Amino acid sequence: MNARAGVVALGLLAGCAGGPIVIPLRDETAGARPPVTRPPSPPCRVTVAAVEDERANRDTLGAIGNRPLQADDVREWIVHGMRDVGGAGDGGGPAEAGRPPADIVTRIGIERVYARTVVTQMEAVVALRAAFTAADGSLTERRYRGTGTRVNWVNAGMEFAVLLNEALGSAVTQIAADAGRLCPPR
Amino acid sequence: MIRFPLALTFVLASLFAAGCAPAVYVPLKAEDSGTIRNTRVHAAIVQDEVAAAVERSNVAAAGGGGLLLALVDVAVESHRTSRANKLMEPVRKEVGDFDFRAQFGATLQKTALELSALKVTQAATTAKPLVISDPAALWKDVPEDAVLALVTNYELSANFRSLTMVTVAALWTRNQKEPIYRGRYLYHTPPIGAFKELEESSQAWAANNGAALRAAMTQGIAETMKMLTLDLGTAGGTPTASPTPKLSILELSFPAYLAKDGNRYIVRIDGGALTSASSDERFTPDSMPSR
Repeated sequence: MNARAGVVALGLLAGCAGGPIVIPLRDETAGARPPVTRPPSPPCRVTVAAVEDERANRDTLGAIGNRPLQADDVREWIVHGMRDVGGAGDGGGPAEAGRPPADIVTRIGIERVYARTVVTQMEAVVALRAAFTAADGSLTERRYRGTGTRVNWVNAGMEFAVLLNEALGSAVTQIAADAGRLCPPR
Repeated sequence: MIRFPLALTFVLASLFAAGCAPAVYVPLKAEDSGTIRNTRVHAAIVQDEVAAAVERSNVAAAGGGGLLLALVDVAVESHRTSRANKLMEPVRKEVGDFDFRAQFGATLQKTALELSALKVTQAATTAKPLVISDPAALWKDVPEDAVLALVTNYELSANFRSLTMVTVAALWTRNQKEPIYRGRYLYHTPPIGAFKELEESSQAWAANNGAALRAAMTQGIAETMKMLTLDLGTAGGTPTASPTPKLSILELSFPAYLAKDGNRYIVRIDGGALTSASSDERFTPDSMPSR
């Protein structure tokens, strides 16, 4: 019990310390695998051809007091999350040679990824732009926002990672649903 | 034994506490500004998007404290935060292409040229937090004589009726242990409407591709720059307030102002902060003053 109290106290003190809070976005215990929200599988083959980091702010993922929130692998994290925008059991990974042509080719732009604290709570936002190109060449572009809100216990990087994964899961779910609607009738 | 009245004790305690906090306003003296050969401006805007304020729950404080009541506070704040975020999302979606930091930075670049007392060589914005009371961090990689640090936050009020923008400023020189200037600039919009429900206010901010919020953010930046210029535009000179106008009842309700544009006034409130506020009953994109 004393040890547990000590860990909590250290966590609280860590919240007061300076320096960046590093967010382990792809830590498996933070919900990076499997995704918190499993998106519905589209009824056709969907590939993610590109994920581009278009964020105006790539320095931080927000800040808590005087401490910036930072993560090095935001694009890779989104690429990993987008693997779940698959279809017909084929996954949503990058297009590869030798595969049958996709029904929907998706290009993702990362617009915003951040977290913040509000009173005793924390909020995370993942804003993505998705451009869907169908086999007939028609292009549909939409914006998606995934959000999450939770109690902020100790300003820990892992807490933000869990919440950001929740937000990403929400955005990916919406993208997968729209990709499914754009699938050609069979 | 001498017994102080309780009220007097509180007043003294408040004064002692105030003595510990840095002053909001320290005017730039002519003799200090005369020593500045060049200035670097750092502006920190850590927010990536507009936020909504959430009122703290005070159940524990009102009930005398205790873990159980603290947990009630957390639950209340969780509900309020979730609701505020839910209402903010449609608003944010409408103004997703508005890069507040970039717009603030571009306007600051132009304004910096008008700060003749500072002779600004470079003005840059950052998303990283800036501790304006930490000179060691501010002077990192800065060859200039002086550093002006600005920290800006902006949010919709908890009732979603108005936008508030707050900028804290501090001007440091190498040979001084304390800032030679401190300032605080506050910008408020009038209410977006006399709505009873938060949803109605949220919808009003989001309407027409977020026109009202875009206008408010743009105006807030412009007014912040005006206030910055009022305090640091001329060497050693903070302009004196004009006499209170006696033209109409509306204008009489304002204290003496430092600047006026339409129905919007900049006044220095108690403590020295500059405030830009409007006498309009409600905020509309059309009510923006010309600039």
